[in-house]
Amino acid sequence: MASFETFYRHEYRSTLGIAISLASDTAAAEDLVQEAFISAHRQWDRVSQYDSPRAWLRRVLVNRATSRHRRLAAELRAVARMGRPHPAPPDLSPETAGVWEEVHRLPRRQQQAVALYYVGQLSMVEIADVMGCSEGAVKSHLHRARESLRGSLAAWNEEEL
Amino acid sequence: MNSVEQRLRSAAEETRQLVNRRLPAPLATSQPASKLGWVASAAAFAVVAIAFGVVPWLAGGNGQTGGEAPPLTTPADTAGPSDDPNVSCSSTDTPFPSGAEGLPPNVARTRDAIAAAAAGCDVDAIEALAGDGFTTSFGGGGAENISVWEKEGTGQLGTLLRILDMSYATVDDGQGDQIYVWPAAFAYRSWEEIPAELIDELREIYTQRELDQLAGLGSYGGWRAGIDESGNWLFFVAGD
Repeated sequence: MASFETFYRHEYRSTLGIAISLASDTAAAEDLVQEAFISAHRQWDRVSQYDSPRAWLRRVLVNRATSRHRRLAAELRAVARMGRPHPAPPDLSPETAGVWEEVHRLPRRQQQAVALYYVGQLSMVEIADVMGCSEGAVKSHLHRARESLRGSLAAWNEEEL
Repeated sequence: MNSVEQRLRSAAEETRQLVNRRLPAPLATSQPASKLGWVASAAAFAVVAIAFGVVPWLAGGNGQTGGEAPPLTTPADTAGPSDDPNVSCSSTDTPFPSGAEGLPPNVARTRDAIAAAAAGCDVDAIEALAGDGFTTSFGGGGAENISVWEKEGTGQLGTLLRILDMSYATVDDGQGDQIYVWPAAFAYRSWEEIPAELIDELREIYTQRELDQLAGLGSYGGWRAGIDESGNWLFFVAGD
């Protein structure tokens, strides 16, 4: 059984990448990642026995990232931060931040599919496993996401210009 | 490659480069869970704790435990308790649900079949009714969890049978399709909006203390079942 420390060190960066594409800002993404790892840590005796603790972690992350409670918690944190110096801005370019902003507006399942496919670089089989659906459904979510983004990213470009 | 594809790949690449420059945050990976409270604000942590089974009653109902059940796959674990038609399970002595009016035929058929399987402790039939992507736990797991829970003494077939006897509602799946959900309380965005009679229905599966804790979540996040318009059984799950 791998130690939790090893698991954490190995999975942190890829998990954070997925979280950044799903969260409103880098700080929120780091919160998400930490919370997901805490959940794994609490149940490590069990989680470490799964066929793929990594898939389990990602499932927890994407579900949490797109849940209504996550949005509520993010709003609460945003309110709490008002009046305080804002932490350093994310290191993402405006172009990339804009892409993720539009992704956040997609339906929940489409967001998850985009994050896992493009940032996580998971295969269709792996994404289907994480999302608990068929490969066909994953492809459908990705197709719909691209169709939606085709219009929204074009509009975003025009506004930026 | 079209521009959307290019932009998504470019954004993903930049994001990966960003995180690759970062060391893992100084999360207390070797600290006991009890010392990890600094990570999130108290409010956010409470949401996480409740949603992920730190408060076990939420997933269990009536004090039973559940939560992020592992995808148990060994034959011994997945063997159902229903081979013997006389075997009892968590639904034994639970009244069979009365008919639900107004359901589309496909939904009504599936709902009645689920109820029949649950009442008969027939976990094989339950698993057969659950299609691809059927969810019993956000932490992973499909219909096989239902038989595992019965074996472990934390069975939820009785809960399933009881919620199917409650009022139902429809919710949009985000793609324009409707999902029929039991209990109807799940369809309300806030606990305050749930009519008193629907909260009373929940007393079939939750104690007052549990209902108070559910109310503290802001909306109903307890056990619920959902069937889509085509009659596909999508979930029987608790938590968020």
